[in-house]
Amino acid sequence: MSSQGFATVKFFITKKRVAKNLFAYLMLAPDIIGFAIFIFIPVGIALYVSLHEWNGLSPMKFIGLRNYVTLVSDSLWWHSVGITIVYALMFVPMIYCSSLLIAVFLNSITGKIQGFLRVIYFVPFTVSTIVLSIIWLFMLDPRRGLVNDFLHIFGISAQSFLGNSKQALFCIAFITAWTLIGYYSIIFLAALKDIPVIYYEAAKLDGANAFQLFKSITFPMLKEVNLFVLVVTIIASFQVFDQVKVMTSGGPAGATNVAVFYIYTNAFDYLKLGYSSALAFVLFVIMFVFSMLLLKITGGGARE
Amino acid sequence: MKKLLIWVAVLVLSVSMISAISLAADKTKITFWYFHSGAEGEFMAALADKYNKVNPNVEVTAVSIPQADYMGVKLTTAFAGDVGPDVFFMSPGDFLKYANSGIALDLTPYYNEELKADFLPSALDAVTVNGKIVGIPFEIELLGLYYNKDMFAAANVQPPKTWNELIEVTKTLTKGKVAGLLIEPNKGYYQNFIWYPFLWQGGGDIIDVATKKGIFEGPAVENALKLWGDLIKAGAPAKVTIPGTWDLSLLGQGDVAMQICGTWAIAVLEDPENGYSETNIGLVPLPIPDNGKAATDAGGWKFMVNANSKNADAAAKFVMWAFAGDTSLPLEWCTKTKFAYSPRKSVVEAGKDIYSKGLRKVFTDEIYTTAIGEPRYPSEIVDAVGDALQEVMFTNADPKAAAKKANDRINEFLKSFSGSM
Amino acid sequence: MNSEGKLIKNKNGQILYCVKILGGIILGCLFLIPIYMLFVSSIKPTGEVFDLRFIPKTISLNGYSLILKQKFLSYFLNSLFISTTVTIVALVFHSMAGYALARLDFVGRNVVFILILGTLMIPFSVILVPLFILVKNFGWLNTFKGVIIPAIPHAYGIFLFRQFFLTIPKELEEAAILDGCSPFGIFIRIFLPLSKPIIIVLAVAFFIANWNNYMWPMIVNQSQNKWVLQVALANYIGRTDTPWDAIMAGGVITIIPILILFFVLQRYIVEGIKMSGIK
Repeated sequence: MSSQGFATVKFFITKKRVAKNLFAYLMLAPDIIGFAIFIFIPVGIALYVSLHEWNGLSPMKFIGLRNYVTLVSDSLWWHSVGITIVYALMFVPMIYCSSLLIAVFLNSITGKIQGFLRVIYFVPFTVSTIVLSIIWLFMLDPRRGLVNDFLHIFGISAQSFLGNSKQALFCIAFITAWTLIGYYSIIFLAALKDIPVIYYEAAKLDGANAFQLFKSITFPMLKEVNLFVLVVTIIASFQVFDQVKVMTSGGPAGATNVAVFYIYTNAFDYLKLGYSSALAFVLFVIMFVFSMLLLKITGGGARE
Repeated sequence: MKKLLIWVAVLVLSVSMISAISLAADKTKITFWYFHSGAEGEFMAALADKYNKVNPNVEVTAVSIPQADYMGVKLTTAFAGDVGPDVFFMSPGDFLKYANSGIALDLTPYYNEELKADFLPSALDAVTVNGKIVGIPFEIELLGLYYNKDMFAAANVQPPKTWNELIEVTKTLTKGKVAGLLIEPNKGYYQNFIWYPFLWQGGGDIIDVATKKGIFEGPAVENALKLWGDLIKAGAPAKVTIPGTWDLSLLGQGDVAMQICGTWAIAVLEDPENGYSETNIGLVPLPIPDNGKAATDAGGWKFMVNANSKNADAAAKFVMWAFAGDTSLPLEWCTKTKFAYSPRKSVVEAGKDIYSKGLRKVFTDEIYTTAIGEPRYPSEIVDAVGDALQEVMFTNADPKAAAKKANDRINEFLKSFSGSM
Repeated sequence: MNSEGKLIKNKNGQILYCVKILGGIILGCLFLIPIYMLFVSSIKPTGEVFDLRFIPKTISLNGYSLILKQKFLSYFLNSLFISTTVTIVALVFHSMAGYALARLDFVGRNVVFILILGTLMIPFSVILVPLFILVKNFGWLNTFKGVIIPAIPHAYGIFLFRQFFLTIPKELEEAAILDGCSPFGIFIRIFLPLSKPIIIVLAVAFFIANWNNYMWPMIVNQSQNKWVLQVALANYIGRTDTPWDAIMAGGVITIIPILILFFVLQRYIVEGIKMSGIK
């Protein structure tokens, strides 16, 4: 090959590369522009606000990093972060395991009955937070609720549930999981359907039992979806808020005062918009570190 | 070319002048945000219509906002974005922040001497900051203990007069699915509102306004905290869901034997649609501790006018018309739409007959004179007190330790609070 | 194995299958009982909604007539318009972005991915005020675009698309390239058709999220004729006089369109056609 020919090839490659990059960014452009305007700019403003004292009514007052210094010694804040982590430790395994199990279960039955059960499990996901909170307040009412009536059959005395500082957080996790399980099991199901049957047939010929099949085929083949569900539910558990606001307002005795609720209280009850922004950025960093660790451990969920 | 430019300039100028003139001929627009629902909501919406009818050059638009997010998210974002309403309601917990920030229009010029004399002095004090009147009080809501007479007769007990009796009766009447007593178990501004009378009955208080120091300590505070812990142990539900304890429906249905609730609830009992008339309901003042003196809250939201509004003057005139002018509208609000006391003597005088009808008589004769104005403490203080109460109620915390923790938080907050109290 | 043994095994298998289905139905009850409570509360008179009886004492359709008497249809149409628009636009944008992140090799791919993923971690309450100010400066207060446009960019859909596109075998792509297909052609003709299940899942999820969205529409819109269903429902809840039967009836009515949508679409979720081309 002459040196001239070599140069042409090189040029060709670079041009192709430019086109490739251009195409990729064109595909990303609509969303990137959207993020830039409706998330990055507001985040930038919030970052600016976090360096100020501002109640939304009077002009902002620049105070440098004082909000961040204050939050280091804000014991209520770190307590709420602790509650959030406990919540995540309850919520994430609960939703992950049950939706995966339900998906595997659904996948093992066939025909109309599968479709029927799918729809039933999915129904809670369609209900709005306000309405679903009202129904669960009904269900868990200490005196007249259905759940206590049910426990009564087994001789268990009436529980306060959302009115008990030891049970309330678990109840919130359970209710939130209840709404989402049907939805996440459908995501798992969609992924399960894509695993070629041939893999199972081959393993069965080797005499593998159901558990081995799950361990050596199903689970590894779900790698991408696993990562998605884990990352998304961890982030969601760190941001739990709506149910807390409607059902417990952080109580009883602060037992459900999760981080975002504390941020919300600071912003919209105390009108400390600067301080609440600072808190939110710290929460963001905590979540970011968690998620990056998860991505690192799982290799970003990309298949080799 | 130069000529052309001049012509263009003239054209632009005249067009803008014409539009300015036509703008002036336009109606003065006022937005008014309310959060009331049901009959109360209808009253507020009608207020705008009525005013528009008598003032053809003004257009008041009444906007309904969901109550749960009215004060918090909705007003905060609106004012932070400089698009706040011209007329709005203000909760006691946010009153000082708005008053100190300059958002609240000084309404002193709109109060003449005669009008000032018509208002109860305590009601005007509650809306006065640095000698300026920045709000309009339009209702006074009092608390009492409602009870089911039939249940009391069946158990052969008398309505409680003291704290000890209250605890005993709660225990006696808590049976099966019926709760002996309903107090507000959820933390928040409303729970504090219900609890303050018990604090005051023994002589306790939260802040010494003169020295700006927390005084949330001592036996009166500890006993009042402990009382609510004891009431939960005696059988008051730890979670009340729907309807909340501000609604008398549970008492009306015979689900509870006693309930601490306010004047407004009488309307619910009397509404024939609810069918509670057959329930035999009585009312007594809140029980007091040994050697204590009777006390109740006199609460209520206030009107405020946006000082940054382009039409602040027109907005102020609208509110003054509604609640500080003729007695007919305030009377309708306080006696027909709901039941509350008016802060204006002339209105109470005009509705004399109604104020002595049925259970209202108990409020008028036995409770009204013991009323103490609801404090306008900022939310941080409401929260510190609320946390102490919650700890004692639900985690068996020592009242003394809980009070101290709250008092420290209050003092910490007061150090950084620069406005007037 | 003789035929008798096979028969026993089949019989056992059948019993096991029945037990499994029974278990599935019992589990289904756990999901349905609270929904039943919602329904049964909606047909009680307002004063009896909170007697919490499993079987109503009296049946009343008052809640439904009350809620339908309001400008319910216009709130319903507002919600429908907003949710549908966001869903369609978001599906187009997010599938494109997900494809780029999963299958295109470009400079800064990881950075872009992490930036996008990072947006999921920002609590909404912190950008609420800045976003409101921004939207106000665009002059979008009291408009549908003020509700719709900021709701479109969302990392959730991009992330899920990326994860699913990652699982599509390389061989399919390579075959298409040999046939002279452009990258965009590959996206349209191979990736999208193969992702039908996930498109359906996301379409339903986007629709529900926007259909049930309350906070942002409540903040952006002031005038009543721009209200969405959830704002109208929340507006009923007050200190006294709250018509609980109407709120419950509203709850039932708002989930019906979503259930119909899901019921119609859900059969496509299980088609699982992705692998049919290769073994």
